[in-house]
Amino acid sequence: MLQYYDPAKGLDVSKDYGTPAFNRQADRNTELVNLTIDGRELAVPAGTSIMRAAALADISIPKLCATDSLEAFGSCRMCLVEIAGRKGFPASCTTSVEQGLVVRTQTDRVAKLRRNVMELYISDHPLDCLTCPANGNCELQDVAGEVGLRDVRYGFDGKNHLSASKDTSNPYFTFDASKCIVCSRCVRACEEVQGTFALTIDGKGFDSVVAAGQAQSFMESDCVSCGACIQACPTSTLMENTVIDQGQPQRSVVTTCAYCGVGCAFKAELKGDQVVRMVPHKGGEANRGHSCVKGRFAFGYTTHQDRITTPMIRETIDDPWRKVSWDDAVNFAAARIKTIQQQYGRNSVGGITSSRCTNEETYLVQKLVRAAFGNNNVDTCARVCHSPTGYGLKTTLGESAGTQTFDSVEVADVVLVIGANPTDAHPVFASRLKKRLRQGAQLIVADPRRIDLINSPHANTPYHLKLLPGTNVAFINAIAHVIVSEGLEATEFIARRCDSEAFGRWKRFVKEQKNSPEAMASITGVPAEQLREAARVYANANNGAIYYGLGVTEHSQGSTMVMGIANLAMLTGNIGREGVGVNPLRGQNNVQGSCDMGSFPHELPGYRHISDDTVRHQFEQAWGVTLDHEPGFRIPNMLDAAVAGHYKGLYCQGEDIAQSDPNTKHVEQALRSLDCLIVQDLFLNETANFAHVFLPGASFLEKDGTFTNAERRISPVRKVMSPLGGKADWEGTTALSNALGYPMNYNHPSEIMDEIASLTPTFSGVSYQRLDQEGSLQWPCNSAMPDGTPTMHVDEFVRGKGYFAITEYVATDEKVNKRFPLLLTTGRILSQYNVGAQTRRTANVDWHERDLLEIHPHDAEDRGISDGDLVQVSSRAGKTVLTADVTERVQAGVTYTTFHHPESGANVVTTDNSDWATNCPEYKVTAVELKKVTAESSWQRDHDAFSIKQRGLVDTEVLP
Amino acid sequence: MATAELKHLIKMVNQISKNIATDESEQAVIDKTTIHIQRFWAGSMKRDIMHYVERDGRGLEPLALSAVRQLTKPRT
Repeated sequence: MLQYYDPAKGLDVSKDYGTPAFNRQADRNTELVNLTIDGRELAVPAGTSIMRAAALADISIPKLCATDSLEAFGSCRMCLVEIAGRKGFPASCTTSVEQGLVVRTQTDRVAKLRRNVMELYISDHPLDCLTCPANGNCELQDVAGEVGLRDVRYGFDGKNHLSASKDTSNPYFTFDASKCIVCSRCVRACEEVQGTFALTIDGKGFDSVVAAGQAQSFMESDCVSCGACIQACPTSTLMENTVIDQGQPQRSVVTTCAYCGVGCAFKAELKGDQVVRMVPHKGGEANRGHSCVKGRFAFGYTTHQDRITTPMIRETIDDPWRKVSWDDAVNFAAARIKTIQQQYGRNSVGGITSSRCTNEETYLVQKLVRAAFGNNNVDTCARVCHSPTGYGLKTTLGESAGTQTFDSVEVADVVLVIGANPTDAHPVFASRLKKRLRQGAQLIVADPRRIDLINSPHANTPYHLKLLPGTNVAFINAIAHVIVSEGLEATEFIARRCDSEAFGRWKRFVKEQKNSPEAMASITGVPAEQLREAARVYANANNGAIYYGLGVTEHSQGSTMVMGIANLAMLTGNIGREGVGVNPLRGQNNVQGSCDMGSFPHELPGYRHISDDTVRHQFEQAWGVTLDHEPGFRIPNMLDAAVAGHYKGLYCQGEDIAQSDPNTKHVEQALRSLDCLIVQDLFLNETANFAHVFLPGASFLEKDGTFTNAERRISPVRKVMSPLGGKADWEGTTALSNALGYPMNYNHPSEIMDEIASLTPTFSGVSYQRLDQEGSLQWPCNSAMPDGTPTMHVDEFVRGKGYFAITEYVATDEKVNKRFPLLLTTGRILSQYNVGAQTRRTANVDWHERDLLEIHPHDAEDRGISDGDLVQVSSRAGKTVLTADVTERVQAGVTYTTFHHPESGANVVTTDNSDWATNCPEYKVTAVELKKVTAESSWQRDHDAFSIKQRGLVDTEVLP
Repeated sequence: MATAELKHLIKMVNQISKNIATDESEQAVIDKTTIHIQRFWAGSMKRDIMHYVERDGRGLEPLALSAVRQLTKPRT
């Protein structure tokens, strides 16, 4: 019987097909080729390797250097086959199928050849299988078994590599060269999957060895510790230290990473309820089997000794913490909240949902605020990162979310990256982007700083438009001006899909001479001709895709810039199909989800306005309460109201606003003004130093739920161990709500999702059962789109006609002057995540033990600052001291730092300027002056003293 | 003397009126600013800025001032 390859049936992700699909996109509709393998007639897509064709028919051909995450290499000579009518023994991995081939994978002759090859391998391989970390999970061992090797005739006394030394420089894995068979899988994984090119094969013939960098240790080399090489290694040459220490895992659970907005799927590999290692899941549609140093290795924080696992309360923040039961803690909190509301009114309390917690948990916190507190004072971390994305995309396109899948980048021809640093902040997406760049796609980067993406090996020379911080809108208008004035717009698309009146108005606006690149050059600092060229390249692309990050949103005109980006995509017809679109790279794992779940004070779940009577009544009916129709406070408004004395209680789940929010001194003053601060977190974080109630949080390994990534992909989070603090976060919220007198009774997060689905049209088709079947689902998922929506706005925009919003450039109030002549901008680094609460409690600190201040050599010289000096950064908001990193990565006039360590006080310096539409803080532009100093700032001294004092208020049993 | 909280509100209204509908008529700017505040601000913030405009109003740009005058008092 002819066996057809049916892509619709899907592949078994637990199986290695040896070589990748010839072309994932084309696989769906390529012509099929008929051939016979071991007497079975098969039909597979043209271009498929014989090895893969065989694997698709469940015929296994022995292999060592082949794996389906890498292109075929043909070096191990283990996969040899015989083809009727052909001479010799071609390698099945590098030989493509052809019409009518008759292949035999098992003959006496190939069996003998394979045995002989294996004999050579084993003659230079330690025979310590029983004590080897890969024992039970070693491809070399398996293949030696398959080929039936019984004897090594050469003996083991010849020249060999058995005494090669180990490289243990990386904290997470060991490179044991004595086990290496030089299959090059690690080298190719570093190139093809990760795109870093840190590894190579050094030497020739017998002397060939895997080498990191220029014969450096792994840690000294360019290695970014993504784990792709370990994933690819068929032996124990590259092995996780946790496996070396603990042995092979016994079972695995597929879950979703709790770091950035890429939302990688991982297999948590376990022994009992102990995580031995996290392995990227090949079936994960966001990451397609890849990972980064954070998700792959930095999970040790989940069992760190700093975890607080018992509820605690105290009268004032100067009192010692008292360990109490959950009941006592929530009753104490509820009583305080009620007293505050009696004294200061219903609106004097509120909550912050966590962009790190699950959808179900954020949903419950906003429900608690609206239903139990009786107001709409609920906000989330997105306030300080992507709230302008919500506003800007809703206004122009009609939906507050990105338009594509991550797969989409595989068919993009021109990629415009604005204000994002994917290799550091969204590394797995960056690897997929770099792969596309190596295939020839053109990159345009608009960023004040030279980000690593610009140096991608083997990519076309990118355009780097080095605009000045705070001039995004001037820049995007100039790009649009070029496209319109040179007649490069997609006239037919605009006429068919967009609001013509708005377009006409916008076109007149953008054509004005003031928006030309020549007129804007003095503002943006980008040479007009360079900008014109880049604009033409983007406009003329078959598929032009825009990816952007917080360098777009965290500005006084963040919302305007998001609209400018949407305008640009519509103008060029780059929306509504694969390879194009407007792609916000979300910061935290569940920022998208927390916004979707109604975490904003003016919106109920599904981005529906609280003043909409029909929608509100649905929720009132379902929740059995009357809801306030007025929006509530945003985080900055809460803080202002707290300082003013009429906002007194805050329930803060899984956020550290004392470190992450701008103008730290203002935040601290606000937190000190509260009568009841309830912090639910893994650790006693900066915010908890000001808290009266501490509820122990649960890590992503300790609960069931879902996260939604930047692609709108809802992915399951699965519990692999019991919550260390006794309750998952959703259980903590229900306990608090019940104590407040508003009953919440759920037995499992799936019931919360069912409630969300029943109340939210874009989620109506989502359930745990469907997620288990599908792996993940992209909203909107409902009766109109039962399998979810990979690409949005395909036939029409969610709002109907696309809306071109006028985007006038209005300079920020945060201006440089004589006193503050430089611009500070902030960002992230690969090894650390956000406030660092998690990553600082892992070996990731080996890469980044403190935040540095990047200064251009000219600015450093003017001020007598050398590399490594202590430098005071002063702004209109405050002063802090950081260590100087003199580098040309930043342009003259611009200085840069990260905010991963609390003692750095990066946010002591940032101001309370914010986006005009959403109050998203302007983290990216602060006028500063630098001065060489010899000691830390007074804020840092006070902060240290306060931190030490606060730590002293915790029982040593709780925090050793 | 405006409190810090009020100063922020004043700045916010000015910012909205400067950004929301550039290139349109003054009345359009005023109307859109009013709608924006209506849709996104908490009731107490609306009340505070309205009180301020009733008794003082200094620091608000002319269009911002008109926008606040058009606000309807929150019901709660």
